[in-house]
Amino acid sequence: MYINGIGLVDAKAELNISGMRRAGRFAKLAVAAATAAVKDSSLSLSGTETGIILATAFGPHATTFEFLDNILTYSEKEVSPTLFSHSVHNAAAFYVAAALNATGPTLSVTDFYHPFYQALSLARFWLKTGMCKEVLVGKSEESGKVMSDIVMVSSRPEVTIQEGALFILLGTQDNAKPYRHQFIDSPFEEKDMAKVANSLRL
Amino acid sequence: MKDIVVTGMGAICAAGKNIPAILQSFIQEERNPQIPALFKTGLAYPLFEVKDFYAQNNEMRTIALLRHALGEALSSAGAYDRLKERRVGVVIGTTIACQMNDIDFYRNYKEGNDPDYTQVDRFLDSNPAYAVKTMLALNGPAMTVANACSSGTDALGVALSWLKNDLCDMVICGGADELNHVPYCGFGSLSVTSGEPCRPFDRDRKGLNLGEGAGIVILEKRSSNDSQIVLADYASYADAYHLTAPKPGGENLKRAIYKVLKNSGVKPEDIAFVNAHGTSTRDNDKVEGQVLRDIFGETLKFHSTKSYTGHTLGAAGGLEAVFACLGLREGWIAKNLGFENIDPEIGIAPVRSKSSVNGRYALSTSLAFGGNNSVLLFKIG
Repeated sequence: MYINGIGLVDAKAELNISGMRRAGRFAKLAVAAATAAVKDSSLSLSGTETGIILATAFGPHATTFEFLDNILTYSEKEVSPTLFSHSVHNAAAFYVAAALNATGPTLSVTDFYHPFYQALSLARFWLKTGMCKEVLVGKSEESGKVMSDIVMVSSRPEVTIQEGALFILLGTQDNAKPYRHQFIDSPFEEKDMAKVANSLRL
Repeated sequence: MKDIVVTGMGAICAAGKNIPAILQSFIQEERNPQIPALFKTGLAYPLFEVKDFYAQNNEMRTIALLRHALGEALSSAGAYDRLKERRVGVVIGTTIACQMNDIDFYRNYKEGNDPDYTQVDRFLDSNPAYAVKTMLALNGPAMTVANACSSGTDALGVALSWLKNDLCDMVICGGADELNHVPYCGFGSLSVTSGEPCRPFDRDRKGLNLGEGAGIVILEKRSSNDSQIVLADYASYADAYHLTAPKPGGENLKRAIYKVLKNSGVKPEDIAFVNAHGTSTRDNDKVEGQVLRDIFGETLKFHSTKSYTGHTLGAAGGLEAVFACLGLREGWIAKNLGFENIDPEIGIAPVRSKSSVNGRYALSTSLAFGGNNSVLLFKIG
């Protein structure tokens, strides 16, 4: 299994992505990173055999709180369907699939510990068993005042939310990229996604 | 490669708090959607609540439902003794438990009224897969799938991958979700909820009713020659078409069904029945019904059990996997309640009464927000 491309988007990125006017930053970060990973690979995706696994700890929480604002501000009958549909965790994976016309299996996974490692591990199986020819595996997190505030005063203030997104295009073919690492199966710290990406580029 | 078999099942939903009670509801054709009691609302969409069920000690209701179904599943598998000595993974689908959907907390936070921050701890402690891993002190992987309405089905797909690739000896999998005020408002805003009890696949269906519950399956590698339910295959394809609506024609739902049939060497006529997603929305039932008609023809036996449970979102795939296994085991499937007239745009009818089923294979289908089309193939033998 080979790392064919890497895309990394940090918190400073300006994200004016065509067709995503209604989407929140969580989804835009994911699409920008996934698109960058495919571009980096110089490969064409195979459509129905392209899988997507998006990992996240907190998901589109800023949109969720915006929707709660909607409920508190307006009547229950006047809340925004657009906000609601964008508050679900897998909206971002949909946008990645739509942007890249990737119609294989699409999965969003979430936990507060090692979601990216879990996603990578599963992607390996998808490739190994021939379920996919390539898998875009990524992690996206958005920052937001409410979630940062409330987590800080919880009993687990060590939980930090860093904004950014990383996608790796894994495939079974070596496309001769300079990093050319074969992905084996090693967990790593997720706290700094830039470090992960840079380490892969050695 | 050894078959991956279902060694235990557990379920809780509005139709009953365990599998025998649910089967009894199916036999008696009972359902009782009501105006919400769990939260105050001015909306009048009926819900399928689990009655007389309460979470304890600030536990999230989703986790309480999950814990309840898990107990039945582990008991039926006789698995408690095997947990410590084996590599046991957990993969659970959900929609509610991964979001801080607490309106009362948020109102107090916004108004500076000293909100109850233990609710944040509850949220951080309520990742379903990790909750199970922690409560049972398991040593395998844990993954929570947040794939909207196909989460539970996709969780079984992940479990199948883990077992086939020898990452685990046993996987606890399924889905769990509670009823919550936030998606209740959200689904209302999308104009897909009905003010009446849902009528899956009926010509005059007006939308879905939300529900809650948990459906848990214990999967292991086959270790005996006894007849068992086998999870034969899983496939999933995305529409990449629309965030909330299925792609007309259902091309990739068809692709997923054909893939599991081909992988297992099964012909459409070998399928004893399909437990369909059947939300009772105009779009879902039209696309799904047309796909079932095109692949299996008018003689297919199929039903939607959402007319007994409501749409339980992240739990739906887990519950419906359990119901598909029960159909194979019991040799019958429940009447598709609420159905009266064939929708001419669909052209086929679900079962109109409790129906016997013959054959070794059954499908469970799930469609979801985000355009997921996921399919499980079960066989008995």
